[in-house]
Amino acid sequence: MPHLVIAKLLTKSAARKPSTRLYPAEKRAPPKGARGRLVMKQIETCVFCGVCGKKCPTRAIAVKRTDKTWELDRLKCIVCGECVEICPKDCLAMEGEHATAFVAKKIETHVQKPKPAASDPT
Amino acid sequence: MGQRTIIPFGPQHPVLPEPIHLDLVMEDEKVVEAIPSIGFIHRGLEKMAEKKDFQEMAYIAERICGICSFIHSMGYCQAIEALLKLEIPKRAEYLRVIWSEMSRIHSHLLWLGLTADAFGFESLFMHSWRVREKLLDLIEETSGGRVIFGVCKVGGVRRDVDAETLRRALEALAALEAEYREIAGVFSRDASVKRRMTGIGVLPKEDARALGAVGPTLRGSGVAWDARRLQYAVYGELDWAPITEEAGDCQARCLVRIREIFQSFDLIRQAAGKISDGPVAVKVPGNPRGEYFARLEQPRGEVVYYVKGNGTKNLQRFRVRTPTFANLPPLLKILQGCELSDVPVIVLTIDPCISCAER
Ligand code: SF4
Ligand code: SF4
Repeated sequence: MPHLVIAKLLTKSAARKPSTRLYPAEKRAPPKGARGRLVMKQIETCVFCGVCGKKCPTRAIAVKRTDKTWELDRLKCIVCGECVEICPKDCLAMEGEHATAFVAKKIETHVQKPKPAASDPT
Repeated sequence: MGQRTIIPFGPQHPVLPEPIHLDLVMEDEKVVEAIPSIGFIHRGLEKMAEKKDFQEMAYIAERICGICSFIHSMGYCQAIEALLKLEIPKRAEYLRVIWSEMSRIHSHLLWLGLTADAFGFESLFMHSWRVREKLLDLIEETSGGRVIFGVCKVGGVRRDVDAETLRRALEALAALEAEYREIAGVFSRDASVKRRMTGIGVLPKEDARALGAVGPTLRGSGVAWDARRLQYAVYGELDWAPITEEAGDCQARCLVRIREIFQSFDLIRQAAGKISDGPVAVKVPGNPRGEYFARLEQPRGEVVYYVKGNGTKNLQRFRVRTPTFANLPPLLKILQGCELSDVPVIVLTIDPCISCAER
């Protein structure tokens, strides 16, 4: 029976540079289309229709029309991208880079600033 | 008769990626009987079907297992599509096959690594996982997720793979296959690997049939059954045959998986060559009503999906018979009479996925 069949593989691998990266010093660029984390790209255009929250399978998004807030519970989000696909105003985006680890639970809140009072008749 | 002792094996054990407990009844160094207990990671996923929308359930089905994730969601979707009498586009079927085969390669490579680790061949373990890592990159490039693909939905798939990405993926797969060939050679020829696996844990053909073994555990005992022969998705249009080995020992089960990886590379190439343009999803008409059993071949063996709908958006019942569950009785059988030191390797050769088995 042949012994040390792995020798060839090991010699090759010794001559090669390491297959691993020195993370986090050296990071891999995520491929195009990777689902890393959900980001609120532009809260200014959001119309608070709430479709994203309804479509979300884990109910990670809470939209409050009266307060003009859009909230995300990142620990609930499974990065499926349903909300990004459904948003009529293209406010949401999927980034390839993963979200970093958490030390405490928190809700990310985005608040839309009131529109400049240009059309205010008074 | 020597004195009998009971040695507990698991739920935490270095070779077990997931918790299962076996009480090994020993007579000196020989195992006389293995008594299993499961239930350490039951998550109640089947029950969730009663609360979740049937379309959202695809995400949960996918999370039954972290390794054969894609085929779980595919099985679920196929069952629901059958209830809805929904014909999904050809392109979606082909993409599903490509992703299932990618998932099979990644699962088998993971298994090869774990097995090498179980018999103490660390460098072989590392090399198997090095190749697997590159495959995960390809999965991420085509589907967007590395382990949880998140692309299968009722009515088709959620994203298309453009021609350029597919071409690049095929090139990368060809390079990967060459790298894998070297690793496969070590598993099939190296003397130290053979000594740990040849003639160990023999499951005779009749026992494999009688005890209801599935997947590589069944095919390693010479039974040519593979659920892909049911020709679901587009497996009927591809040229392939179930891979079998006659010996029924650990080595045979290992060889089946080694050869299946090559077969999966080939199936991906065939599917990519035949894929036609077109839409990748159709609209879902209404809610499912009725009962259906879907059967698919996972890397670990045949999985059965049972769904029962009553015309509302929640299913009435959702049940999965996973391959590991079917492979437990054969495992208990082959453990009888083996040496204590062989137990870890034998347990691994059925490729146990306890998360699947308990859901
Ligand atoms: S779907 Fe878009 S516009 Fe509507 S609430 Fe969500 S982010 Fe705002
Ligand atoms: S990415 Fe998916 S899980 Fe996350 S918030 Fe959007 S819809 Fe919900």
